[in-house]
Amino acid sequence: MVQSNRFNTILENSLIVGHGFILILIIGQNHIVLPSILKVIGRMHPLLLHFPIVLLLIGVLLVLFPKVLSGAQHQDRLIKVTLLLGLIFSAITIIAGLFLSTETGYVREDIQYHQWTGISVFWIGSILYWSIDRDFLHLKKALSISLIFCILITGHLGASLTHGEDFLWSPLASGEVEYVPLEEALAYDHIIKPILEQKCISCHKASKQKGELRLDQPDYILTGGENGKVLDLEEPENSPLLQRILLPLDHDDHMPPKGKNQLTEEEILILQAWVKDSASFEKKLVQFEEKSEFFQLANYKFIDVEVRYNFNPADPKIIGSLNNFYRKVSPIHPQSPALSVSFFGKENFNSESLKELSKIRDQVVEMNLSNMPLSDEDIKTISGLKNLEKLNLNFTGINGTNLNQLKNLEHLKSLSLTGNNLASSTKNILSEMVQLESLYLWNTGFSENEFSSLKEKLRSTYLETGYKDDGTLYVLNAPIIEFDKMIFIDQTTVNLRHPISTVKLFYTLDNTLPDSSNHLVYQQPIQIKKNSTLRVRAFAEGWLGSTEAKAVFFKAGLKPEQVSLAFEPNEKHKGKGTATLFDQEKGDLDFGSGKWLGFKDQPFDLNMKFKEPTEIGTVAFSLFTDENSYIFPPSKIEIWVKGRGGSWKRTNRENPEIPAEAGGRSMMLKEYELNESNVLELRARLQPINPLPKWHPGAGQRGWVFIDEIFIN
Amino acid sequence: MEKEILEHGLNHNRRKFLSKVSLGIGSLALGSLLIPDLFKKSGDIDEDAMMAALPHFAPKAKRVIYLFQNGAPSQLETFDYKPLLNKYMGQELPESIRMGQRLTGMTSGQSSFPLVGSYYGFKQYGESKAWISDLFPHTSKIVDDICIIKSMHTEAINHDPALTFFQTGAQVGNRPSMGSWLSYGLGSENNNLPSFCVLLSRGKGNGQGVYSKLWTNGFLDSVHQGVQFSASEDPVLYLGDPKGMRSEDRRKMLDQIVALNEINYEEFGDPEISAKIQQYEMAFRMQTAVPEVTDISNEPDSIIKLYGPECLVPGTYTANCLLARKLSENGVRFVQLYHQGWDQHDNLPREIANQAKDVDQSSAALITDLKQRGLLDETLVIWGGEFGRTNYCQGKIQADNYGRDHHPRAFSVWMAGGGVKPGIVYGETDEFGYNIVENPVHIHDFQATILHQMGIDHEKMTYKHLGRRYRLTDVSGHVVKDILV
Repeated sequence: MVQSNRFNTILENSLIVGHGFILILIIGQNHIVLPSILKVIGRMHPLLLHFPIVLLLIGVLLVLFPKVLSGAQHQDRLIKVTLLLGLIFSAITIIAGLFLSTETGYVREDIQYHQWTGISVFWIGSILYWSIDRDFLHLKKALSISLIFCILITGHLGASLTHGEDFLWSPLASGEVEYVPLEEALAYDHIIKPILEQKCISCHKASKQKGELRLDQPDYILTGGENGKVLDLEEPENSPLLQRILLPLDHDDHMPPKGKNQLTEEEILILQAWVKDSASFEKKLVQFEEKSEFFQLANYKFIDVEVRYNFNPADPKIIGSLNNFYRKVSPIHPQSPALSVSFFGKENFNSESLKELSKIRDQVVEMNLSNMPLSDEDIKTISGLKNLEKLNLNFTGINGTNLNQLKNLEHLKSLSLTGNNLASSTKNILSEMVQLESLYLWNTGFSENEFSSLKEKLRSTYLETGYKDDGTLYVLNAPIIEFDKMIFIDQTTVNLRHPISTVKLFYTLDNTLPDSSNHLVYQQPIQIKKNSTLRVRAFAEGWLGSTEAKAVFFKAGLKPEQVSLAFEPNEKHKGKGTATLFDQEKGDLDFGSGKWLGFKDQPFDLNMKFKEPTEIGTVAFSLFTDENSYIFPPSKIEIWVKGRGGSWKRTNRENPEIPAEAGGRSMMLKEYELNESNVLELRARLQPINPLPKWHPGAGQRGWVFIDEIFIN
Repeated sequence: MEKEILEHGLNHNRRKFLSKVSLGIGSLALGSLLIPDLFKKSGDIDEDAMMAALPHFAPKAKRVIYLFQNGAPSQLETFDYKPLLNKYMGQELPESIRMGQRLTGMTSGQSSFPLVGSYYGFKQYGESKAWISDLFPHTSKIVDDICIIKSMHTEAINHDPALTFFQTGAQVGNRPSMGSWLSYGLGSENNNLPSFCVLLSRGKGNGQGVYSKLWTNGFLDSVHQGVQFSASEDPVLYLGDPKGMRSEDRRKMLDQIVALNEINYEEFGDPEISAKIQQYEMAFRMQTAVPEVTDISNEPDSIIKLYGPECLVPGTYTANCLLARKLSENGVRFVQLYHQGWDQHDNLPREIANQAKDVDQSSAALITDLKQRGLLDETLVIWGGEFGRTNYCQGKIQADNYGRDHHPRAFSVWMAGGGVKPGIVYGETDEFGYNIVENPVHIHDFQATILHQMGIDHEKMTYKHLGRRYRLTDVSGHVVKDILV
């Protein structure tokens, strides 16, 4: 051949490069992880492989039967180009195939055979190509025939890889996997055999009896293999079958061997339990004791496979379009065609949002409509979801009379109606829904009698009637007092409320504890016009009366012209001095807030001067007590007045009661009647307690007096 | 001439052959330089593919409510009945039981370790004949609905690491909390509420702090962070529109902010920006969703009696139990409660009685309430602390006053609903209540089991961070199949 055929030469060079490339790939195969772009090339393998098959077969046929082309020009060149192109394509195909083989999902052993026959095609073809110009006729024929065989075998093995081992012959085999209900399931056939088939039989079957062991039929399993029996029925724990699967993965005798698809933890447990529990090949699953480990495990597995649906999955696009912020549509678990639908946000609910589900009418098996306001029409829409199994209609405001539309939902297993005030005719409708496995009727207004007659009709249904008031009496929560201002000029408005709407609120304004004898009943906001202590309790049938809520209100009073304290308040609690006492700003329950004056070592002794003779009816002190913080009512309160005459006169004196126990943080109002006219000066003295009473942790020490306002009227 | 040289180059001989074969090899080498992963060790897992397949199998539970008893309630006064301790009251803990195990600094200096039995009596309840202390009269009524695990054990011996271990699978901080993992793995059921909510309450007993790191999203997207509800009448603060602002105006403002944030996102590509956008949007929807969920005015009176009237006082454990039910009912994946005050180093008999009173009725009520609504099957409820307490007395022992130190080697929790076997007691401790003798459950086993019930294979849900893959159960954990239906 002259060098005129440049095209040929380029191809030949590429072929050599291809050989090198493939060699390296074979050697480095196990250490390669491909970037995704090369994975794409790998996945073109099934497409590419058709080119070399056709080209090589044509080339080889021309070598074997040269007469086909007799008389054609450049006969030899044609053969060479065909073979060469075929080889180049097979190089590309092999490279793609090697890339593809790094992906998971293939059994390494199956790939090996396919890989080596494929590479043989390439090598044999290459030898054939380089010997084509020589005269070894027999060699060429032999190479050609083996090449054809290699192509066929490679093709078949490749097809088995993608379509499964039985692809070619399966049309001749019979039988589909049939669905068996739990009651009819056999321990071996339906639980054990599928595990063995998946994980063991590929090496222990008629065609491939590793260790001379077959696990594809009960007889062979009992017979065992070259190392003897695999099941030890005397001492099941010592059965080699179990021992092998329990060996560490790296152990040489571990089964399935390292690199093969391993048994899952669950499968191991099931196999173990089955062998220990008689290793029966005939028993039905239900014949095992319900408490036996095997039954429990198998049953568990069974529940998973039992949930099968014979309808088609919905279009994922439709599912996607039905999902929004207020409606969640999702498969009950991956790969399941069955859908679960939940609605949220009652303000966004309308009948239309329920009707839109008609697109997935067949697939909805669970629906949660709790708290959505449902109409009659909605129940009708629901009745069109024929595969519905679980329906939650809690607190939907239905009265139940139209539930008869749900009677024909034959798959409905669980119906929850709690919180709906059901009409008594609903009982008859429900009593016909025998398909139900559970029915939830708490808080539906049914009586005990109605429950028991329903229970008789629905014998196989679990009826949940929920919590019943067991007659325990609970103390009601204290009411809540709401107001704008604690210190008012003319009047202030006070609202009372309670989280339970059925309670009655009793109150007093004269600092007595409200009980059945002395109270006013709260009906509308209270107007308060004078210094008052409001005490409120809540009462309701079936409850104990609440603890009290208390608030003190003050009418803003006279302000003396000049005020002075005989002793400064304690350094830590000096507020704004005397200004604090007349700023008409109530202190809160935080006595460290700076709105309170605190006295401990010296008494509170205040002198107030008026500009002109004044008539004084009452004087009130707003105090704070918190015995745990050593803050007590004063041990002594004294008031003096000085009139025009210029001499002091004591008008009031009291030794307030000392609390007998700690009572928590609380406001206290001490109010005294003076009824003096022509007062020019007023003096008040509040003595802190000393010593603290015996029950107190600080017994013997000095206590505190806290004051924040004085009201003079 | 030029042409001939070219032609010559195409011709081959041995030298050329080798050089061309090496061209094939060289191209692979070049490839490995350009694509660093080309020769990376195989066995890597495709994270995205795995996340797309979540849940990995049919979930038994859709939601979790975790009633965490923070501070570690004593198992010996609650669910682990050890009459032997009463018999040997005041006698020394045998060395054969203690086996030189680690103690905290609070009692390691004690010269003696006197055994102390429960001040409170125990009785058997239900079909499971479970022993429950007299401190839990309501829990003992629902004993046939719960599964008591007496054989929990942990690795940490102090509160903070033990809590962090329970919640995040590691004793040091910065890993995502269990609720965040579930939010990441399963997403939200109701897009108008956070998928992970946290409710705090405080008992009167000696307390230990809880910190936001316990509900952190760790290295996961911050949308998976737990949202702490406040203990007031407004559980979510600043949710209402300010006075004078209409909802439409708020919407317009948010749209503008989103537009600005999107410009920023285009420029920097920081995922936190898109998380922020999502959070604004969710907050807007929460403005209507939260008041609807937290409104207790439409709860029937019987519910108030079931939980106890305290459920009307915001911020109490009881109110949180009721709120937990309402959140869970509305599709919140994971509601985490913490009740503080269980750390009884001294004064145990009095303090634990108060603590039990705080939680007994409402915890039991939650189970009853979920059950009567048909929700218990799909909601997993867990009750328990971060470790147990010692069988010996910390400090001075008196007939009616004693204390117990931290004990990580055995403690009790209970679970209910969500596909957990009801009415069983699992695991056993020795007669001294010190070591586990049957069916130990490690924290990672416990976490694996919770994930399993939610349809997640704990080994497959991973997140790559700082060059390695993390999971909630770190590198161990077995699903406790024995306690599952």
